[in-house]
Order: sequence, then C-alpha cells, then structure tokens
Amino acid sequence: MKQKMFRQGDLLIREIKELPENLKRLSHKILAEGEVTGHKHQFVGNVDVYENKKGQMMFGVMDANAKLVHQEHKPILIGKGVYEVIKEREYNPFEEEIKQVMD
Amino acid sequence: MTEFSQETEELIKRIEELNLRQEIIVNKERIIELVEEAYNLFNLKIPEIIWVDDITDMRFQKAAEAAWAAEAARAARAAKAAEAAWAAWAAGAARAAKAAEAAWAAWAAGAAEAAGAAGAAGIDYDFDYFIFTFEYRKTNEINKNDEKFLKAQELFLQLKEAGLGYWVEHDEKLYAATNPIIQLDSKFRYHSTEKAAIKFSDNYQFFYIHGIRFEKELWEKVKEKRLTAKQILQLENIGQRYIALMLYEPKRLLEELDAKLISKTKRNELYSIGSILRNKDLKLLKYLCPSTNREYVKFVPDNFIDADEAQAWSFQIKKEEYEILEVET
Repeated sequence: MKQKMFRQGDLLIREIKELPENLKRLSHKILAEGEVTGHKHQFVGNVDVYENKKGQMMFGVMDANAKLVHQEHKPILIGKGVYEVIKEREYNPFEEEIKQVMD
Repeated sequence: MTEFSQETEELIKRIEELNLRQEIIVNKERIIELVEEAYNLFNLKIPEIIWVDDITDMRFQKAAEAAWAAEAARAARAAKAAEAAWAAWAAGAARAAKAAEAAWAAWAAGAAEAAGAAGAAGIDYDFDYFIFTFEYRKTNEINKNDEKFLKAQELFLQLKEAGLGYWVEHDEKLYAATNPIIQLDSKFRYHSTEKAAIKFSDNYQFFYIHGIRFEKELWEKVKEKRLTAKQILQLENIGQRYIALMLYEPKRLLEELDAKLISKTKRNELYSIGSILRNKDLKLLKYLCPSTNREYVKFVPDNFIDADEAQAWSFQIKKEEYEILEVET
C-alpha cells in the first residue's frame, strides 16, 4: 500500500508501520509552533501525540475525521494510522565560513 | 522520552512562566521575608538589601566583582547565601552522573524549556539543577545537604517570582535587581522583531532575532529590510548576516545578488549565487507556500543542482518520495 505523506508548511508528515517503543505521550495535540507568529500546527479530533528521545514528534490518528489545522495553512485530513513528523531543516552556508565575504 | 513526574513537569512550567512573565513585578516586602528565610536556612547574618535599577549598576557590578574575586566563580554567581547550597549541588552533581535516566530527562526538558532566560546576564541564576535534584529525589534517597539545596532553590525561585531577578552579596549588603522581561522564539532563543528581547526595568535592553544579538540601529534596519543585499553581505557577524538574508524579500534578494536560475520544477526554483562567498557558489531555493502564495527562500547545501532534490533534502526524504507528495498546504 502506498505510504501516505503530507506537507503543511514546514512540517512533513509520513505514515509509518507502527509507533516505536519508549515514546513519551504528550498532553497536547500540537506538532509545532511558529517561531515568529506563534501559529500552531495542531490537531482537531481524536489524535494522540508522542515524542521520542530525540524530540521527534509522532502521532496516532484514531478518528478518520481528525484534521491537522494551522492559522495560515489549509487543513489536512490525515486519516487513521500512525505517522512521524519531519521538520524542515535549515542550512546555513556561513556557519563554516570565516569572513570570506566579497566586497 | 523517559517519563518524569508530574510534579517536576509543574516545576518546569512554573519556571517557564516566570521566565516569560511580561511585566515587572517587585514585591519588596515578600522579598525581605524570603531573603531572611534563605539566610536563616544557612545561619547567615541577614544583609541589608540595596535595590539597583539593573545589573549594570556600578554598585551591583562592584559587589559582583568583589564576590567573584573573593570566592569561586560559581559561588559568586549564587552569592554568599548559596554557598552551602552549592556544596550540596556539588555532592548531588557527582552522584547525578550515575543517576536515574528519569532525572536526566527532567534536566534536559528543564534546560530546554526553563533555561531560556538564564543567559540574560552572566550572573543569572538558573534552575537546571533544581529541576534535576527535584526529580532525582522522586526515585532516590537524598541526604541532608540535598534537602537543604532543594529548600534553598525553592526560596530562590520564590524570590524570583516576587521580583528579585539578580542578586549579589558583598560586605553584608545584598545588591538586588529585578527580572528583565524577555521574548523568546519557539526554539527558546532570544527573539523579537517588535521589541527588545531582553528589557530591564530601567529600559536597559538588548535586541535579538532568533538568538542573534543586534545593536538597536541595525536590528531596526534588518527587521524593516532597509539594508541592501550588498550591505547585508558586508556584515561582519555571520549570524547577523544569515538572519538578515533570511528576512529579506526573496525576489529582491535574488535580483540584487545576481542569482542564476539553474533548476526549475513545478514547485521549486534553485538558484546559484556566486556573489556571496569568494570561492564557492551558494545555492538558494525559492518556493511558494501553496496556502498563502507567499514566496520563501532558503539556502541548501551547494552540491545540489536539482530544485526538487534540494527541497527533498530539507525534509529528509528522497527526491522520488518528494515527487509523489500530493498534499501540500
């Protein structure tokens, strides 16, 4: 079966076969919060959100109508299943540079 | 992540709320009571409290320098009242290295959530080891020193809640300054594009964008996008340079930097820019938010030549996976 995958802003949601062990269940349904705006990627519906030791979020959707909502992005109907969250990563080309700026 | 107790979670939240409090509160009566309690805990002579406007006050600085010179740096940070507590901390910390995983998890969470304000000044007091020992006690026996340490930490936290942000004792005088008001981003870095990220009661303030400090004048120019791309590239501080570029208008940035389009797909455009660094071409990816239609740019590693592959990299997936990604909002 095709692996389900969604993107909402800076988050990528990927379906996984099962949730790994040793996850911490969180008491909220927020996957991420915007740095500047404070806008949140969060669930409406029956969803359990977890975090692993590395801080990666995972979640289980029990409700076919559960939606991932955000103040700026369109809502996504995720569907029942278990998923991992991959956050968009950044690359800073200057981190390893020592003053090589062109005049 | 290993679970830690609800009580420790509540302690972390309490510290976090204190760190993010957006008003200056000074309850001097309560502070005097708590200082007396803290000093009595260690059988120390209660000092006279002298309020200063902020930590740059010369009296505060001189007292801090004297304390620093007279004792170890750590003792100076905590002031004389905390000497015994630091001894307790040292004892606790030694055992902590071998301690239960739960305590480390609590410490890690505390460090992330609560320590944001701790760096506001070099002489600030953070509560990492309070959280650590607090959780450690839940599942381990602790000794009298540890108990005393916890009591002292609770008093110090209450002192902060009552408005005593920083303090240093010298010559039987306790120089006290209030907490600053701080702004953080979601990664717990000092940040605001609207106001000072750290502001003391007398308007002594610091400006940060995503953890990078700017002088006020430069901060204003960066947030209002009043610098040209060339001016941004001339910023000596690479952190400032990166932040300023990321806040710039994408279209203007690409034009001003003479960026060359090297790959274009339905969703992404990859540009090569040779005008930033002397010896290499940097790659900048331009993409559109499907919900807002807003354009964004981000740097990607300079080995990329394909726009979708570069975007797939930023989400840690393969290009083939990215290409079948149907729902993007």
